[in-house]
Amino acid sequence: MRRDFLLGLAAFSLILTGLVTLNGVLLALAIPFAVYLAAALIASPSRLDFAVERKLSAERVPVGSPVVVTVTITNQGARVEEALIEERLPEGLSILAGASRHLVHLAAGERISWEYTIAGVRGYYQLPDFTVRATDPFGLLPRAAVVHVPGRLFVMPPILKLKPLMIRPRKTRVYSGVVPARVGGYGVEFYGLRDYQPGDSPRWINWRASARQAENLYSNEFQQERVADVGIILDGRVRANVLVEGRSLFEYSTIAAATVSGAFLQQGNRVGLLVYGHYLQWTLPGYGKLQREKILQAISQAQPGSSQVFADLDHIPTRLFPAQSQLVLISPLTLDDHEILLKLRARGYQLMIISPDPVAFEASFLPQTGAVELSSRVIRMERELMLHRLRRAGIQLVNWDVSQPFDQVMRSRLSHPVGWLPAPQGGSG
Amino acid sequence: MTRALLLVCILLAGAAVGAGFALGGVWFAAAGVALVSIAWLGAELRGWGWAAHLGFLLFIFAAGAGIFFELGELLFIAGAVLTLAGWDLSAFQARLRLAAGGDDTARLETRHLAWLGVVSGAGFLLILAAQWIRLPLTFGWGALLAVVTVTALSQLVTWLKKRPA
Repeated sequence: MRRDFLLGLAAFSLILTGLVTLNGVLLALAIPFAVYLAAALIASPSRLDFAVERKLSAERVPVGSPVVVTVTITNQGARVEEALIEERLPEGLSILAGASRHLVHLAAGERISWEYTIAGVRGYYQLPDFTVRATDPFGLLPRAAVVHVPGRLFVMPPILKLKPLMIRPRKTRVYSGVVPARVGGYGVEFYGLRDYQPGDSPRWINWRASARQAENLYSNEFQQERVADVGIILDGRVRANVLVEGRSLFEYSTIAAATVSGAFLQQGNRVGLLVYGHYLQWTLPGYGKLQREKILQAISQAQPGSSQVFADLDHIPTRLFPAQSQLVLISPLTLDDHEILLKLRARGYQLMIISPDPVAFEASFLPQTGAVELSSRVIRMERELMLHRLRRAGIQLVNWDVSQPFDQVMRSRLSHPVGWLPAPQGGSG
Repeated sequence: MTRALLLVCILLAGAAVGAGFALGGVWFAAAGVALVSIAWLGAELRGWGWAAHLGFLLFIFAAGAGIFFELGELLFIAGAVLTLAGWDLSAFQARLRLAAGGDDTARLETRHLAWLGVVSGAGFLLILAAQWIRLPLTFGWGALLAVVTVTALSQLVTWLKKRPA
Protein backbone atom coordinates (compact mmCIF):
# COMPACT_ATOMS: atom_id res chain seq x y z
CA MET A 1 0.00 0.00 0.00
CA ARG A 2 1.30 3.45 -0.86
CA ARG A 3 2.13 5.23 2.33
CA ASP A 4 1.72 8.70 0.86
CA PHE A 5 -1.83 7.82 -0.10
CA LEU A 6 -2.57 6.44 3.35
CA LEU A 7 -1.15 9.50 5.06
CA GLY A 8 -3.10 11.83 2.78
CA LEU A 9 -6.25 9.82 3.41
CA ALA A 10 -5.85 10.11 7.19
CA ALA A 11 -5.03 13.83 7.07
CA PHE A 12 -7.83 14.82 4.71
CA SER A 13 -10.35 12.62 6.52
CA LEU A 14 -9.56 14.45 9.73
CA ILE A 15 -9.79 17.83 8.04
CA LEU A 16 -13.05 17.07 6.28
CA THR A 17 -14.58 15.52 9.40
CA GLY A 18 -13.47 18.53 11.40
CA LEU A 19 -15.01 20.88 8.85
CA VAL A 20 -18.23 18.96 8.56
CA THR A 21 -18.64 18.67 12.32
CA LEU A 22 -17.17 22.14 12.94
CA ASN A 23 -14.73 20.55 15.40
CA GLY A 24 -11.47 22.51 15.67
CA VAL A 25 -9.59 19.83 17.61
CA LEU A 26 -10.21 17.30 14.86
CA LEU A 27 -8.88 19.85 12.41
CA ALA A 28 -5.84 20.37 14.62
CA LEU A 29 -5.29 16.62 14.80
CA ALA A 30 -4.39 16.71 11.10
CA ILE A 31 -1.45 19.03 11.82
CA PRO A 32 1.19 16.32 12.59
CA PHE A 33 0.27 14.52 9.39
CA ALA A 34 0.53 17.70 7.39
CA VAL A 35 3.88 18.50 9.00
CA TYR A 36 5.08 14.96 8.28
CA LEU A 37 4.01 15.22 4.63
CA ALA A 38 5.52 18.68 4.29
CA ALA A 39 8.85 17.50 5.74
CA ALA A 40 8.87 14.59 3.30
CA LEU A 41 8.19 16.95 0.40
CA ILE A 42 10.94 19.33 1.47
CA ALA A 43 13.54 16.62 1.99
CA SER A 44 12.55 14.62 -1.07
CA PRO A 45 15.40 14.34 -3.58
CA SER A 46 14.54 16.60 -6.49
CA ARG A 47 17.16 15.25 -8.89
CA LEU A 48 19.27 12.14 -8.77
CA ASP A 49 22.76 12.43 -10.14
CA PHE A 50 25.13 9.60 -9.36
CA ALA A 51 28.43 8.62 -10.88
CA VAL A 52 28.92 4.90 -10.53
CA GLU A 53 32.10 3.03 -11.23
CA ARG A 54 32.43 -0.74 -11.21
CA LYS A 55 35.69 -2.64 -11.32
CA LEU A 56 36.10 -6.38 -11.64
CA SER A 57 39.20 -8.16 -10.44
CA ALA A 58 39.04 -10.19 -13.68
CA GLU A 59 36.82 -10.13 -16.74
CA ARG A 60 37.50 -13.74 -17.70
CA VAL A 61 37.74 -16.49 -15.17
CA PRO A 62 37.40 -20.26 -15.07
CA VAL A 63 34.20 -21.76 -13.69
CA GLY A 64 33.92 -21.36 -9.94
CA SER A 65 36.72 -18.81 -9.60
CA PRO A 66 35.78 -15.84 -7.44
CA VAL A 67 35.67 -12.35 -8.92
CA VAL A 68 35.84 -9.33 -6.66
CA VAL A 69 33.57 -6.52 -7.77
CA THR A 70 34.37 -3.06 -6.44
CA VAL A 71 31.65 -0.45 -6.73
CA THR A 72 32.25 3.24 -6.13
CA ILE A 73 29.35 5.69 -6.09
CA THR A 74 29.64 9.45 -6.00
CA ASN A 75 26.62 11.61 -5.31
CA GLN A 76 26.90 14.54 -7.72
CA GLY A 77 23.50 15.94 -6.83
CA ALA A 78 21.86 17.15 -3.65
CA ARG A 79 21.85 15.20 -0.39
CA VAL A 80 19.93 11.95 -0.43
CA GLU A 81 18.62 10.79 2.92
CA GLU A 82 18.16 7.16 1.96
CA ALA A 83 19.21 5.46 -1.22
CA LEU A 84 18.83 1.80 -2.00
CA ILE A 85 21.41 0.93 -4.62
CA GLU A 86 21.02 -2.41 -6.24
CA GLU A 87 22.46 -4.58 -8.98
CA ARG A 88 20.33 -7.53 -9.96
CA LEU A 89 22.87 -10.11 -10.98
CA PRO A 90 21.99 -12.27 -13.96
CA GLU A 91 21.02 -15.87 -13.48
CA GLY A 92 24.08 -18.06 -13.22
CA LEU A 93 26.09 -15.67 -11.08
CA SER A 94 25.99 -16.04 -7.33
CA ILE A 95 27.36 -13.93 -4.52
CA LEU A 96 30.01 -15.61 -2.39
CA ALA A 97 30.69 -12.72 -0.03
CA GLY A 98 29.29 -9.24 0.47
CA ALA A 99 26.12 -7.93 -1.11
CA SER A 100 25.07 -6.29 -4.34
CA ARG A 101 22.38 -4.22 -2.61
CA HIS A 102 23.12 -1.44 -0.18
CA LEU A 103 21.13 1.10 1.77
CA VAL A 104 23.06 4.30 2.26
CA HIS A 105 22.83 7.95 3.17
CA LEU A 106 24.67 10.15 0.70
CA ALA A 107 25.55 13.75 1.39
CA ALA A 108 26.19 16.04 -1.57
CA GLY A 109 29.52 15.11 -3.14
CA GLU A 110 29.95 12.10 -0.88
CA ARG A 111 31.62 9.02 -2.27
CA ILE A 112 31.20 5.51 -0.95
CA SER A 113 32.40 2.15 -2.17
CA TRP A 114 31.92 -1.49 -1.38
CA GLU A 115 33.11 -4.85 -2.56
CA TYR A 116 31.47 -8.16 -3.10
CA THR A 117 32.62 -11.46 -4.50
CA ILE A 118 30.81 -13.41 -7.17
CA ALA A 119 31.27 -16.69 -8.98
CA GLY A 120 29.33 -18.27 -11.76
CA VAL A 121 28.66 -21.15 -14.03
CA ARG A 122 30.04 -21.15 -17.57
CA GLY A 123 28.65 -18.31 -19.61
CA TYR A 124 28.94 -14.78 -20.83
CA TYR A 125 27.38 -12.24 -18.52
CA GLN A 126 26.47 -8.65 -19.22
CA LEU A 127 26.55 -7.06 -15.81
CA PRO A 128 23.36 -5.16 -15.11
CA ASP A 129 22.72 -1.48 -14.64
CA PHE A 130 22.44 -0.03 -11.17
CA THR A 131 19.01 0.77 -9.86
CA VAL A 132 18.98 3.63 -7.40
CA ARG A 133 15.85 4.19 -5.35
CA ALA A 134 16.19 7.33 -3.30
CA THR A 135 13.62 8.57 -0.82
CA ASP A 136 12.95 11.33 1.64
CA PRO A 137 13.69 10.51 5.30
CA PHE A 138 10.24 8.97 5.74
CA GLY A 139 10.18 6.84 2.61
CA LEU A 140 7.04 8.58 1.39
CA LEU A 141 8.15 9.94 -1.95
CA PRO A 142 10.61 7.58 -3.56
CA ARG A 143 12.36 8.43 -6.78
CA ALA A 144 14.10 5.87 -8.94
CA ALA A 145 16.94 6.14 -11.41
CA VAL A 146 18.88 3.67 -13.49
CA VAL A 147 22.59 4.23 -13.86
CA HIS A 148 24.10 2.50 -16.84
CA VAL A 149 27.50 1.03 -16.10
CA PRO A 150 28.81 -1.34 -18.75
CA GLY A 151 30.44 -4.49 -17.52
CA ARG A 152 30.92 -8.03 -18.72
CA LEU A 153 32.22 -11.24 -17.37
CA PHE A 154 33.27 -14.38 -19.18
CA VAL A 155 33.15 -17.53 -17.10
CA MET A 156 35.06 -20.03 -19.11
CA PRO A 157 35.19 -23.79 -18.98
CA PRO A 158 38.27 -25.21 -17.29
CA ILE A 159 41.19 -25.62 -19.66
CA LEU A 160 43.24 -28.73 -19.00
CA LYS A 161 46.80 -29.28 -20.09
CA LEU A 162 47.29 -31.86 -22.79
CA LYS A 163 50.34 -33.43 -24.31
CA PRO A 164 50.70 -32.62 -28.03
CA LEU A 165 47.90 -34.23 -29.98
CA MET A 166 49.01 -36.29 -32.93
CA ILE A 167 47.06 -35.60 -36.10
CA ARG A 168 47.82 -36.29 -39.71
CA PRO A 169 45.52 -34.41 -42.04
CA ARG A 170 46.01 -34.97 -45.73
CA LYS A 171 46.59 -31.32 -46.38
CA THR A 172 48.63 -28.87 -44.34
CA ARG A 173 49.46 -25.22 -44.64
CA VAL A 174 52.75 -23.80 -45.88
CA TYR A 175 54.11 -22.64 -42.53
CA SER A 176 56.33 -24.93 -40.53
CA GLY A 177 54.78 -26.57 -37.52
CA VAL A 178 54.57 -29.96 -35.87
CA VAL A 179 52.13 -31.82 -38.07
CA PRO A 180 53.75 -34.31 -40.47
CA ALA A 181 52.98 -32.98 -43.95
CA ARG A 182 53.46 -36.10 -46.11
CA VAL A 183 55.99 -34.12 -48.12
CA GLY A 184 59.70 -34.73 -48.19
CA GLY A 185 62.08 -31.99 -47.14
CA TYR A 186 63.55 -30.67 -43.94
CA GLY A 187 62.23 -32.35 -40.88
CA VAL A 188 62.86 -34.89 -38.18
CA GLU A 189 60.96 -38.00 -39.17
CA PHE A 190 62.37 -40.28 -41.86
CA TYR A 191 60.30 -40.05 -45.05
CA GLY A 192 62.24 -41.91 -47.76
CA LEU A 193 65.32 -42.09 -49.97
CA ARG A 194 66.23 -40.06 -53.01
CA ASP A 195 69.27 -39.53 -55.17
CA TYR A 196 72.01 -37.49 -53.65
CA GLN A 197 71.93 -33.93 -54.90
CA PRO A 198 74.73 -31.40 -54.72
CA GLY A 199 74.31 -29.35 -51.61
CA ASP A 200 72.95 -32.21 -49.50
CA SER A 201 74.64 -32.47 -46.17
CA PRO A 202 76.97 -35.48 -45.94
CA ARG A 203 75.11 -36.40 -42.78
CA TRP A 204 71.99 -37.04 -44.84
CA ILE A 205 73.69 -39.61 -47.04
CA ASN A 206 72.30 -43.04 -46.42
CA TRP A 207 75.56 -44.99 -46.52
CA ARG A 208 73.93 -48.36 -46.21
CA ALA A 209 71.76 -47.81 -49.30
CA SER A 210 74.56 -46.10 -51.20
CA ALA A 211 76.89 -49.05 -50.57
CA ARG A 212 74.54 -51.32 -52.50
CA GLN A 213 74.91 -49.18 -55.64
CA ALA A 214 78.38 -48.48 -56.90
CA GLU A 215 77.53 -45.43 -59.01
CA ASN A 216 74.94 -43.59 -56.97
CA LEU A 217 74.73 -41.97 -53.62
CA TYR A 218 71.40 -41.78 -51.81
CA SER A 219 70.26 -39.23 -49.31
CA ASN A 220 67.69 -39.63 -46.58
CA GLU A 221 64.63 -37.53 -47.02
CA PHE A 222 62.71 -36.26 -44.03
CA GLN A 223 59.10 -35.45 -43.65
CA GLN A 224 58.28 -31.80 -43.53
CA GLU A 225 56.37 -30.65 -40.49
CA ARG A 226 53.88 -27.90 -40.96
CA VAL A 227 50.87 -26.35 -39.31
CA ALA A 228 47.45 -27.63 -40.17
CA ASP A 229 43.92 -26.35 -40.43
CA VAL A 230 41.86 -27.72 -37.58
CA GLY A 231 38.11 -27.24 -37.51
CA ILE A 232 36.50 -27.99 -34.17
CA ILE A 233 32.80 -28.76 -34.25
CA LEU A 234 31.06 -28.55 -30.89
CA ASP A 235 27.77 -30.39 -31.00
CA GLY A 236 25.18 -28.35 -29.12
CA ARG A 237 22.09 -30.25 -30.16
CA VAL A 238 19.74 -30.83 -27.27
CA ARG A 239 18.83 -34.29 -28.54
CA ALA A 240 22.46 -35.36 -28.37
CA ASN A 241 23.31 -33.79 -25.04
CA VAL A 242 21.76 -35.63 -22.14
CA LEU A 243 20.40 -33.49 -19.33
CA VAL A 244 20.01 -35.28 -16.01
CA GLU A 245 19.11 -33.59 -12.73
CA GLY A 246 20.11 -30.19 -14.05
CA ARG A 247 23.52 -31.40 -15.23
CA SER A 248 24.15 -31.44 -18.94
CA LEU A 249 26.64 -33.49 -20.86
CA PHE A 250 27.20 -30.37 -22.93
CA GLU A 251 29.27 -28.89 -20.12
CA TYR A 252 31.75 -31.74 -20.55
CA SER A 253 31.78 -31.14 -24.29
CA THR A 254 32.74 -27.52 -23.67
CA ILE A 255 35.61 -28.63 -21.44
CA ALA A 256 36.82 -30.90 -24.22
CA ALA A 257 36.43 -28.16 -26.84
CA ALA A 258 38.33 -25.61 -24.77
CA THR A 259 41.11 -28.04 -23.95
CA VAL A 260 41.52 -29.43 -27.45
CA SER A 261 41.42 -26.03 -29.14
CA GLY A 262 44.03 -24.76 -26.70
CA ALA A 263 46.27 -27.74 -27.41
CA PHE A 264 46.02 -27.34 -31.19
CA LEU A 265 46.68 -23.62 -31.03
CA GLN A 266 49.62 -24.29 -28.74
CA GLN A 267 51.08 -26.45 -31.50
CA GLY A 268 50.81 -23.51 -33.89
CA ASN A 269 47.84 -24.75 -35.90
CA ARG A 270 45.12 -22.65 -37.43
CA VAL A 271 41.96 -23.41 -35.51
CA GLY A 272 38.32 -22.50 -36.08
CA LEU A 273 35.27 -23.39 -34.03
CA LEU A 274 31.75 -24.21 -35.10
CA VAL A 275 29.04 -24.57 -32.48
CA TYR A 276 26.30 -26.64 -34.04
CA GLY A 277 22.96 -26.61 -32.28
CA HIS A 278 20.17 -24.09 -32.22
CA TYR A 279 22.05 -22.19 -34.92
CA LEU A 280 25.56 -22.12 -36.36
CA GLN A 281 28.01 -20.09 -34.33
CA TRP A 282 31.20 -19.85 -36.33
CA THR A 283 34.50 -18.52 -35.07
CA LEU A 284 36.77 -17.83 -38.01
CA PRO A 285 40.02 -19.79 -38.03
CA GLY A 286 43.13 -18.12 -36.71
CA TYR A 287 46.39 -18.61 -34.90
CA GLY A 288 47.80 -17.90 -31.50
CA LYS A 289 46.66 -16.45 -28.23
CA LEU A 290 44.16 -14.04 -29.71
CA GLN A 291 42.40 -16.88 -31.46
CA ARG A 292 42.46 -18.89 -28.26
CA GLU A 293 40.71 -16.03 -26.51
CA LYS A 294 38.11 -15.78 -29.27
CA ILE A 295 37.40 -19.47 -29.11
CA LEU A 296 37.15 -19.47 -25.34
CA GLN A 297 34.69 -16.59 -25.47
CA ALA A 298 32.64 -18.42 -28.07
CA ILE A 299 32.63 -21.56 -25.94
CA SER A 300 31.63 -19.51 -22.90
CA GLN A 301 28.58 -18.26 -24.75
CA ALA A 302 27.66 -21.60 -26.30
CA GLN A 303 24.39 -23.08 -25.11
CA PRO A 304 22.69 -26.26 -26.22
CA GLY A 305 19.64 -25.69 -28.37
CA SER A 306 17.30 -27.44 -30.73
CA SER A 307 16.36 -26.68 -34.29
CA GLN A 308 14.54 -28.67 -36.94
CA VAL A 309 17.20 -27.77 -39.48
CA PHE A 310 20.13 -28.81 -37.33
CA ALA A 311 18.48 -31.81 -35.69
CA ASP A 312 21.08 -34.08 -37.30
CA LEU A 313 24.60 -33.47 -38.53
CA ASP A 314 23.64 -33.35 -42.24
CA HIS A 315 23.90 -29.59 -42.31
CA ILE A 316 27.44 -29.19 -41.10
CA PRO A 317 28.70 -26.52 -43.52
CA THR A 318 31.79 -28.26 -44.87
CA ARG A 319 32.60 -25.23 -46.99
CA LEU A 320 33.81 -23.55 -43.84
CA PHE A 321 36.60 -26.08 -43.53
CA PRO A 322 39.43 -26.39 -46.05
CA ALA A 323 39.34 -29.59 -48.07
CA GLN A 324 41.18 -32.54 -46.54
CA SER A 325 41.85 -30.67 -43.34
CA GLN A 326 41.55 -31.98 -39.81
CA LEU A 327 38.11 -31.93 -38.23
CA VAL A 328 37.48 -32.55 -34.55
CA LEU A 329 33.90 -33.33 -33.66
CA ILE A 330 33.01 -33.11 -29.99
CA SER A 331 29.69 -34.80 -29.60
CA PRO A 332 27.97 -37.45 -27.52
CA LEU A 333 26.68 -38.73 -30.91
CA THR A 334 23.30 -40.18 -31.70
CA LEU A 335 22.78 -43.49 -33.41
CA ASP A 336 21.93 -41.88 -36.74
CA ASP A 337 25.04 -39.71 -36.89
CA HIS A 338 27.47 -42.24 -38.26
CA GLU A 339 26.43 -41.95 -41.93
CA ILE A 340 27.20 -38.25 -42.22
CA LEU A 341 30.48 -38.80 -40.39
CA LEU A 342 31.46 -41.49 -42.85
CA LYS A 343 30.58 -39.12 -45.68
CA LEU A 344 32.86 -36.49 -44.19
CA ARG A 345 35.61 -39.04 -43.96
CA ALA A 346 34.99 -40.07 -47.58
CA ARG A 347 35.43 -36.47 -48.67
CA GLY A 348 38.96 -36.63 -47.38
CA TYR A 349 38.65 -34.93 -44.04
CA GLN A 350 40.77 -36.39 -41.31
CA LEU A 351 38.23 -36.83 -38.58
CA MET A 352 38.73 -37.04 -34.85
CA ILE A 353 35.69 -37.57 -32.63
CA ILE A 354 35.70 -36.94 -28.92
CA SER A 355 32.48 -38.37 -27.61
CA PRO A 356 31.44 -37.85 -24.00
CA ASP A 357 29.68 -41.10 -23.19
CA PRO A 358 25.95 -40.36 -22.65
CA VAL A 359 25.16 -43.91 -21.53
CA ALA A 360 27.64 -43.92 -18.66
CA PHE A 361 26.67 -40.34 -17.77
CA GLU A 362 22.96 -41.06 -17.54
CA ALA A 363 23.44 -44.43 -15.85
CA SER A 364 25.46 -42.79 -13.08
CA PHE A 365 22.33 -40.93 -12.03
CA LEU A 366 20.00 -43.92 -12.12
CA PRO A 367 19.44 -46.52 -9.40
CA GLN A 368 21.42 -49.70 -10.02
CA THR A 369 18.48 -52.01 -10.63
CA GLY A 370 18.38 -54.98 -12.93
CA ALA A 371 16.17 -53.19 -15.45
CA VAL A 372 18.46 -50.18 -15.61
CA GLU A 373 21.51 -52.38 -16.01
CA LEU A 374 19.90 -54.41 -18.78
CA SER A 375 18.69 -51.37 -20.70
CA SER A 376 22.03 -49.61 -20.36
CA ARG A 377 23.77 -52.73 -21.67
CA VAL A 378 21.51 -52.77 -24.73
CA ILE A 379 22.07 -49.09 -25.43
CA ARG A 380 25.78 -49.44 -24.83
CA MET A 381 25.96 -52.28 -27.35
CA GLU A 382 24.19 -50.17 -29.97
CA ARG A 383 26.58 -47.34 -29.29
CA GLU A 384 29.64 -49.58 -29.37
CA LEU A 385 28.50 -50.95 -32.71
CA MET A 386 28.27 -47.44 -34.11
CA LEU A 387 31.65 -46.46 -32.68
CA HIS A 388 33.17 -49.63 -34.15
CA ARG A 389 31.91 -48.67 -37.60
CA LEU A 390 33.43 -45.23 -37.24
CA ARG A 391 36.78 -46.61 -36.12
CA ARG A 392 36.82 -49.00 -39.05
CA ALA A 393 36.43 -46.03 -41.35
CA GLY A 394 39.70 -44.59 -40.04
CA ILE A 395 38.20 -42.08 -37.67
CA GLN A 396 40.17 -41.33 -34.52
CA LEU A 397 37.66 -41.79 -31.77
CA VAL A 398 37.74 -41.21 -28.06
CA ASN A 399 34.80 -42.53 -26.09
CA TRP A 400 35.06 -40.43 -22.95
CA ASP A 401 33.45 -41.67 -19.77
CA VAL A 402 33.06 -38.28 -18.11
CA SER A 403 33.70 -39.72 -14.67
CA GLN A 404 37.34 -39.93 -15.83
CA PRO A 405 39.45 -36.78 -16.12
CA PHE A 406 39.57 -35.61 -19.73
CA ASP A 407 43.30 -35.00 -19.82
CA GLN A 408 44.05 -38.53 -18.64
CA VAL A 409 41.73 -40.03 -21.22
CA MET A 410 43.28 -37.97 -23.99
CA ARG A 411 46.80 -38.80 -22.85
CA SER A 412 46.14 -42.49 -23.16
CA ARG A 413 44.27 -42.31 -26.45
CA LEU A 414 45.60 -39.53 -28.63
CA SER A 415 49.15 -38.71 -27.66
CA HIS A 416 50.71 -41.38 -29.88
CA PRO A 417 51.14 -41.06 -33.63
CA VAL A 418 48.27 -42.11 -35.78
CA GLY A 419 48.94 -44.38 -38.69
CA TRP A 420 48.34 -43.50 -42.29
CA LEU A 421 44.68 -43.93 -42.69
CA PRO A 422 43.24 -44.04 -46.16
CA ALA A 423 39.89 -42.41 -46.71
CA PRO A 424 37.16 -44.95 -47.43
CA GLN A 425 35.83 -44.92 -50.94
CA GLY A 426 32.13 -45.05 -50.13
CA GLY A 427 29.76 -42.96 -48.07
CA SER A 428 28.71 -45.77 -45.82
CA GLY A 429 30.65 -48.48 -44.15
CA MET B 1 17.17 0.70 18.45
CA THR B 2 14.50 1.24 15.81
CA ARG B 3 12.75 -1.96 16.74
CA ALA B 4 12.69 -1.10 20.43
CA LEU B 5 11.40 2.40 19.71
CA LEU B 6 8.77 0.99 17.38
CA LEU B 7 7.43 -1.31 20.10
CA VAL B 8 7.52 1.50 22.64
CA CYS B 9 5.61 3.82 20.29
CA ILE B 10 2.91 1.23 19.66
CA LEU B 11 2.59 0.50 23.38
CA LEU B 12 2.44 4.19 24.32
CA ALA B 13 0.02 5.01 21.49
CA GLY B 14 -2.26 2.18 22.61
CA ALA B 15 -1.91 3.23 26.23
CA ALA B 16 -2.70 6.89 25.47
CA VAL B 17 -5.75 6.24 23.30
CA GLY B 18 -6.93 3.42 25.57
CA ALA B 19 -6.50 5.61 28.65
CA GLY B 20 -8.47 8.38 26.93
CA PHE B 21 -11.40 6.03 26.43
CA ALA B 22 -11.03 4.54 29.93
CA LEU B 23 -11.06 7.97 31.53
CA GLY B 24 -14.16 8.77 29.53
CA GLY B 25 -15.76 5.57 30.79
CA VAL B 26 -15.97 3.89 27.40
CA TRP B 27 -14.49 0.60 28.51
CA PHE B 28 -15.34 -1.46 25.46
CA ALA B 29 -13.47 1.05 23.27
CA ALA B 30 -10.51 0.99 25.64
CA ALA B 31 -10.50 -2.81 25.48
CA GLY B 32 -10.73 -2.67 21.68
CA VAL B 33 -7.76 -0.29 21.51
CA ALA B 34 -5.81 -2.59 23.83
CA LEU B 35 -6.60 -5.56 21.58
CA VAL B 36 -5.56 -3.66 18.46
CA SER B 37 -2.28 -2.58 20.04
CA ILE B 38 -1.52 -6.16 21.12
CA ALA B 39 -2.33 -7.41 17.63
CA TRP B 40 -0.15 -4.70 16.07
CA LEU B 41 2.70 -5.54 18.43
CA GLY B 42 2.39 -9.22 17.62
CA ALA B 43 2.32 -8.51 13.91
CA GLU B 44 5.44 -6.36 14.16
CA LEU B 45 7.22 -9.09 16.09
CA ARG B 46 6.32 -11.54 13.34
CA GLY B 47 7.44 -9.08 10.66
CA TRP B 48 4.02 -8.47 9.09
CA GLY B 49 4.55 -4.99 7.70
CA TRP B 50 0.99 -4.58 6.39
CA ALA B 51 -0.37 -4.67 9.95
CA ALA B 52 1.13 -1.23 10.57
CA HIS B 53 -1.20 0.33 7.99
CA LEU B 54 -4.22 -1.27 9.63
CA GLY B 55 -3.08 -0.30 13.11
CA PHE B 56 -2.38 3.23 11.93
CA LEU B 57 -5.86 3.69 10.43
CA LEU B 58 -7.62 2.11 13.42
CA PHE B 59 -5.71 4.20 15.97
CA ILE B 60 -6.26 7.44 14.07
CA PHE B 61 -9.94 6.59 13.74
CA ALA B 62 -10.10 5.82 17.48
CA ALA B 63 -8.31 9.05 18.38
CA GLY B 64 -10.64 11.02 16.10
CA ALA B 65 -13.66 9.33 17.62
CA GLY B 66 -12.44 10.08 21.14
CA ILE B 67 -12.03 13.75 20.27
CA PHE B 68 -15.35 13.85 18.44
CA PHE B 69 -17.20 12.46 21.46
CA GLU B 70 -15.30 14.93 23.67
CA LEU B 71 -13.76 12.24 25.86
CA GLY B 72 -10.61 14.29 26.22
CA GLU B 73 -8.04 15.87 23.96
CA LEU B 74 -4.44 15.57 25.13
CA LEU B 75 -4.31 11.79 25.42
CA PHE B 76 -5.90 11.30 22.00
CA ILE B 77 -3.58 13.87 20.41
CA ALA B 78 -0.54 12.22 22.01
CA GLY B 79 -1.87 8.84 20.89
CA ALA B 80 -2.23 10.06 17.30
CA VAL B 81 1.29 11.49 17.23
CA LEU B 82 2.72 8.27 18.69
CA THR B 83 0.73 6.26 16.17
CA LEU B 84 2.27 8.30 13.37
CA ALA B 85 5.73 7.66 14.83
CA GLY B 86 5.04 3.92 15.20
CA TRP B 87 3.72 3.68 11.65
CA ASP B 88 6.79 5.49 10.35
CA LEU B 89 9.20 3.35 12.34
CA SER B 90 7.54 0.19 11.09
CA ALA B 91 8.18 1.25 7.49
CA PHE B 92 11.69 2.39 8.34
CA GLN B 93 12.47 -0.95 9.91
CA ALA B 94 11.25 -2.70 6.77
CA ARG B 95 13.60 -0.51 4.70
CA LEU B 96 16.47 -1.23 7.05
CA ARG B 97 16.02 -4.94 6.39
CA LEU B 98 17.18 -4.27 2.83
CA ALA B 99 20.54 -3.03 4.07
CA ALA B 100 23.58 -5.23 3.65
CA GLY B 101 25.67 -6.40 6.57
CA GLY B 102 28.36 -3.76 6.20
CA ASP B 103 26.07 -0.78 5.64
CA ASP B 104 26.20 2.11 8.06
CA THR B 105 22.71 1.57 9.45
CA ALA B 106 23.57 3.40 12.67
CA ARG B 107 23.99 6.59 10.66
CA LEU B 108 20.72 6.01 8.86
CA GLU B 109 18.93 5.34 12.16
CA THR B 110 20.35 8.41 13.84
CA ARG B 111 19.33 10.67 10.97
CA HIS B 112 15.91 9.13 10.68
CA LEU B 113 15.17 9.39 14.38
CA ALA B 114 16.32 12.99 14.36
CA TRP B 115 13.94 13.80 11.50
CA LEU B 116 11.11 11.90 13.16
CA GLY B 117 11.73 13.57 16.51
CA VAL B 118 11.67 17.02 14.96
CA VAL B 119 8.55 16.35 12.90
CA SER B 120 6.62 14.65 15.72
CA GLY B 121 7.68 17.30 18.22
CA ALA B 122 6.75 20.11 15.83
CA GLY B 123 3.41 18.49 15.07
CA PHE B 124 2.61 17.99 18.73
CA LEU B 125 3.63 21.52 19.66
CA LEU B 126 1.61 22.98 16.82
CA ILE B 127 -1.48 21.13 18.03
CA LEU B 128 -0.89 22.40 21.52
CA ALA B 129 -0.45 25.89 20.16
CA ALA B 130 -3.67 25.48 18.20
CA GLN B 131 -5.43 24.75 21.49
CA TRP B 132 -4.55 28.25 22.65
CA ILE B 133 -5.61 29.98 19.49
CA ARG B 134 -9.33 29.47 19.42
CA LEU B 135 -10.97 31.01 16.37
CA PRO B 136 -14.70 30.74 15.93
CA LEU B 137 -15.27 28.32 13.06
CA THR B 138 -17.99 30.14 11.20
CA PHE B 139 -19.65 28.95 8.04
CA GLY B 140 -17.46 31.28 5.98
CA TRP B 141 -14.22 29.96 7.53
CA GLY B 142 -15.47 26.43 7.13
CA ALA B 143 -16.36 26.95 3.46
CA LEU B 144 -12.98 28.55 2.79
CA LEU B 145 -11.13 25.71 4.50
CA ALA B 146 -13.22 23.17 2.60
CA VAL B 147 -12.34 24.79 -0.73
CA VAL B 148 -8.65 24.94 0.24
CA THR B 149 -8.75 21.28 1.32
CA VAL B 150 -10.44 20.07 -1.85
CA THR B 151 -8.03 22.09 -4.00
CA ALA B 152 -5.02 20.77 -2.08
CA LEU B 153 -6.36 17.24 -2.31
CA SER B 154 -6.86 17.46 -6.07
CA GLN B 155 -3.38 18.99 -6.50
CA LEU B 156 -1.86 16.22 -4.43
CA VAL B 157 -3.65 13.51 -6.41
CA THR B 158 -2.52 15.09 -9.69
CA TRP B 159 1.05 15.30 -8.43
CA LEU B 160 1.05 11.72 -7.21
CA LYS B 161 -0.27 10.52 -10.56
CA LYS B 162 2.44 12.37 -12.48
CA ARG B 163 5.24 11.20 -10.24
CA PRO B 164 6.89 7.93 -11.26
CA ALA B 165 6.20 5.16 -8.78
